[in-house]
Amino acid sequence: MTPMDKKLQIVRHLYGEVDDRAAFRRLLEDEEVRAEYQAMSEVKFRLDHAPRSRPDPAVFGRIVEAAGRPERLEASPSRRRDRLPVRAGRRRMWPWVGATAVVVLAVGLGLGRLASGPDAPRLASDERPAFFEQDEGLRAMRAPAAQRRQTHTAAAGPEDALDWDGADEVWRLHRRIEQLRARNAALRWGEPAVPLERLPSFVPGVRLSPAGSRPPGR
Amino acid sequence: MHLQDEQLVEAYLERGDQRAFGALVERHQERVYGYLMGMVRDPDVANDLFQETFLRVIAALQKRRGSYTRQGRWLAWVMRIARNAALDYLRSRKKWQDVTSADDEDGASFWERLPDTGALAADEALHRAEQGAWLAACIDRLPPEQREVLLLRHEAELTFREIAELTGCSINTALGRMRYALLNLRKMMTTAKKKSLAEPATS
Repeated sequence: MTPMDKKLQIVRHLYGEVDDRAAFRRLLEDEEVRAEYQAMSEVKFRLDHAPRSRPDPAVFGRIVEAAGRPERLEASPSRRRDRLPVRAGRRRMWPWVGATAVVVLAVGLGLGRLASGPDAPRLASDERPAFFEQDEGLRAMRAPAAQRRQTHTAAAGPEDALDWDGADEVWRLHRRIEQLRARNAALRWGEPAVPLERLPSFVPGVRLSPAGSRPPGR
Repeated sequence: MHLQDEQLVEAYLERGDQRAFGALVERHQERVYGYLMGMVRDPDVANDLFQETFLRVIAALQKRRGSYTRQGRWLAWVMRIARNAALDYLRSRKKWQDVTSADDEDGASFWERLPDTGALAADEALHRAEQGAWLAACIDRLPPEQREVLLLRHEAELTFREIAELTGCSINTALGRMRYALLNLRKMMTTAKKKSLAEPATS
């Protein structure tokens, strides 16, 4: 038996966990072990005679009450259950689960976009250009379109809703084309050059210069 | 008639005998509460953890899904639940670090890690507080692994074999921690005694 083994064994004797008087006496023949045993005995005596503390009687009462109605305990959502320790491997696994979910989501979105094609109509925003709101005719046309969209999306799939959203864009473009056509009604292909000031889109007060010339200072 | 723990558990499980469970809690309350109090050093928290421990015990017994297999001592099983509750609390407040095997025989370096004011604080505590409180303060200054073994042996009255099983170490490691805990406490007491003897002469 090594000196350390003797010192550990004497602790078991100190706490009465070994019932071998002869072995105990042999251990105490070692002066160092005997001194250590005496030192530990003094501390143990102090510890044994230290006042014991008790829990709050109210806590004791609550526990006994809970023991009488364990079904309420099970129903309580706030109570934590005894659980097995979380293993390090499981802790390390969670970030990977999150990363995998993000990748799957991204791939899913990408496939969805590919399936719908690059020219697929995009959802129109509810915000519309001001001229659209000011135009009585377009507002009137938009109202039934919106109604149709509401009834249609309630009855059919999302691809139909995209179709109706596209119709608004068409009307907006149509309106823009009409405006440009009205402004440039006087122009015809093959006619002689007209001074810029005469064009309908000319804004008075803005000095025009030929496209080929450079602004001063450049 | 003195019923064994296992008989009281049986009475509670088979007949729903609430008083049997109450007798169990009453019988072991000082052991469980003493351990919890030594671990967290706060009566309110210790009361919460004590209640939490026994609520977990009730739930586990009712579901019969707990680790209690009626093979070991009932108290050792309860202490395992109490320890989990205490460590959950301490970890949540970063007051506990799991001990690695490299620290097993680390008692010798304990005094080197103590701050210089340690003996002075112990000395002041000796004069200010009662003996029990002073002893508790000394225990609180022990390294966590030594403190826990000391509390499990003195407060919970578990055997060293049960402590080894509970804390997941060898029995020699548990004995070694206990030895260092006692010797460290002895040093604290000696230091405090010297201080108290020296003080009247200087004052």
